[in-house]
Amino acid sequence: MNDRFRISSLWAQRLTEHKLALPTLLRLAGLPAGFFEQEKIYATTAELFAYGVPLAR
Amino acid sequence: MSPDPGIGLKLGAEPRFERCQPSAIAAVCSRSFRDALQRIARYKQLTCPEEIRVHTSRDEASVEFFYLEAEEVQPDVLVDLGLSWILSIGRRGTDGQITPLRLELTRPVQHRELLRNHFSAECGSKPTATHSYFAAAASTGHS
Repeated sequence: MNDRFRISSLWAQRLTEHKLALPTLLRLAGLPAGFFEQEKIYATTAELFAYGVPLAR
Repeated sequence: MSPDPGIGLKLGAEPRFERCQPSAIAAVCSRSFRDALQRIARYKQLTCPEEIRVHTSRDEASVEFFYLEAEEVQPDVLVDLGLSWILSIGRRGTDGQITPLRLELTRPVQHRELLRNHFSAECGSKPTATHSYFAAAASTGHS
């Protein structure tokens, strides 16, 4: 099993709806600025967790 | 980043059905909550390094998430998001019949009232448990 999660592009939309700044979130998570602009978005478990950490700070 | 302590709960509960992932739509269309959990578990088993484990005893079923490749502790917000997501699927698919009996978190419980209101259940802390979970009556959600 690959360490790979398919991420819905709607995540970005939902985060924005909750008034979360995507560039800041991605920077704090250590993810590339264009992460949500990929045609197909994949994340490893570590990246997924990294995305979750700054959300609740 | 978010001042809202319920951000994980909110992100997990997609209010618009048309925006749900196909796997969630398939789960909502299941015969029962148990069937829905099995469908999601199967989907995840096939597509990503995550497992949903359902433990059924005589009176209740508990739902846990396992990240198979995790080397660190799952962030609290993702715990909330996952449990909220699975509950929202159960509620939507059963017209609100799913009500957890209790919520058990491995972390110390903060914002107890917020969690109680969201899950309609009491929330406890079990630091010795390996994963957080919620338990529902085993008989709920059957059509």
